[in-house]
Amino acid sequence: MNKNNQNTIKNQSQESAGIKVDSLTKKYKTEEGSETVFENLSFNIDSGDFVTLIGRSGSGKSTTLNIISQILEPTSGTVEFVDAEGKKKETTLGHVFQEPHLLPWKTARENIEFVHKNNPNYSDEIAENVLDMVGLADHYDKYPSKLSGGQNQRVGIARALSVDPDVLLMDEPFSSLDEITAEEMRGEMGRLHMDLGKTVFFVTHDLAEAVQLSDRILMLGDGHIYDDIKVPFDRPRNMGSDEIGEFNAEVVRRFNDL
Amino acid sequence: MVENLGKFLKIRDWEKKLLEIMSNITNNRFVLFVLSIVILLLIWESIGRVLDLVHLISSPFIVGQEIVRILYSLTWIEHLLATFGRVTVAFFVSIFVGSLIGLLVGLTDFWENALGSYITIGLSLPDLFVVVVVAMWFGVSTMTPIIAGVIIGFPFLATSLHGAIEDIEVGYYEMAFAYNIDKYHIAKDIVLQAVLPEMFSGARYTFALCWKIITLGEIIAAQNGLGHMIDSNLRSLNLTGVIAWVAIFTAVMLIIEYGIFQQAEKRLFNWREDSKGVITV
Repeated sequence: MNKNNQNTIKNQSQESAGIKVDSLTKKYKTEEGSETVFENLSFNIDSGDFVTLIGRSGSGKSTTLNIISQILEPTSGTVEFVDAEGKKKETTLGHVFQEPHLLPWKTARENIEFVHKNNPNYSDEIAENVLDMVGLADHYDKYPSKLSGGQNQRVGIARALSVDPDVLLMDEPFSSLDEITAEEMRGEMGRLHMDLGKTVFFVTHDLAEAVQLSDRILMLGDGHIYDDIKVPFDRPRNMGSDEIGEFNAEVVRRFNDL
Repeated sequence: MVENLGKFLKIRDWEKKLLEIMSNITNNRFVLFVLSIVILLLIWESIGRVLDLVHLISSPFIVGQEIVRILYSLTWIEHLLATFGRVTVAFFVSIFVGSLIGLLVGLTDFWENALGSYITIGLSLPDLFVVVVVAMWFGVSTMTPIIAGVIIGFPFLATSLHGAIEDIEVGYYEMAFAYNIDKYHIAKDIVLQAVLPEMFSGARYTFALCWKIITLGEIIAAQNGLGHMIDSNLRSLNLTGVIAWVAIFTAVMLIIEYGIFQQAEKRLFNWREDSKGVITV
């Protein structure tokens, strides 16, 4: 992590929020009538937890995340953000997408500034702090075309952190990166989570990634959560250890149980 | 690369230098262009002299003398300004109409359905047909070349913009929506910025097109301008004069292309990895 990290983390609040998903149903209209993605999906995420939703392609992982993100409307059911006592809470969300969706005509700093268009308290310091935090201190004024894929995704993460989110929503953020960069980013993400204590709702189809990063793993398939696994290891995790290797194999077995 | 090649092949220093110069030439678009023109003129001049056709084919030397004569007489200023004035008016009207239609067609289904066919028709109309019909409607006047330029010019820009709007990554909108960005900033910072490169290259193309159409219009229906001078030399069968005026016309276009458009492109789109000029003449 960047040498300025300890200073910049002070500028992030340690606030986070829990998520209550209750009887969520999503149906899409089709020519034949409607297609159900999932029905009566319910789960809770505690404040400060790193929870991964895992499932096969088309299982509805991204749809679930997009409903929580308020990008999509559910057909029925509710999503609530709650404080540590379970009371409803006004929540700021940070979004990290599969592709970072950086505007190519804006520099790293300007891309972060863009999501603060309605924030009268925004200053350049905010962008610089979060870029320092993700190790891009020397790249404030570089355009996305001059940065690598991993660096662009770091800007995406910095942009999400810049709003000082209570909940960080991440949709397969490392899937488009090469394995070495993705591994580096996982390590970075794990450290950021430990330092900031934000609630993270993470979607992936990579089981080892889920084991490396999460406190809990929710398995989605056939329109429902069919398994909820607690990951019992401290961070940072040594993915090469026998213990984690055995746990990983157990997760794979349970994933294939559906 | 040359250094590595030198070590490998054990070539001498002067050979290495020569290779470096050759490599610089072949990698420089402008130098290559000038070099090819020089070679073309040399071939042209040589054919004229060897076959004793210097006057019949108006060799570059004779054309050069004619260009110098025109430039000294200062008449070119009046004609150039007349053409340039028409091109400027036609260009800006085309930009306005083309951008407006392109944005409407790109952003709404209704306007796409209503105006899409007119763009297709506009693109498929032969240039000469438009110029002749406009000349018959408006006669020999300043407006004739301008109107023809606008009619032929705007569909290109409208099409470019339409395509550019459709190509905007949906992810940008998703990101803006997720972070509650208002419509004004989506329009200003995403839509406008995303279409700007296409708008610029469309504008460049439209400008080049306006030059050509206005000159054609001037040949048919104008009493001054570069096109009119090409026509009057043609009528008196003065091939040297025709080529000299065409050369002046081409030189002006290249100055505008390299001096204005390419410089503006470099400044405006320095965020693009592949930002480099394209000759649209």
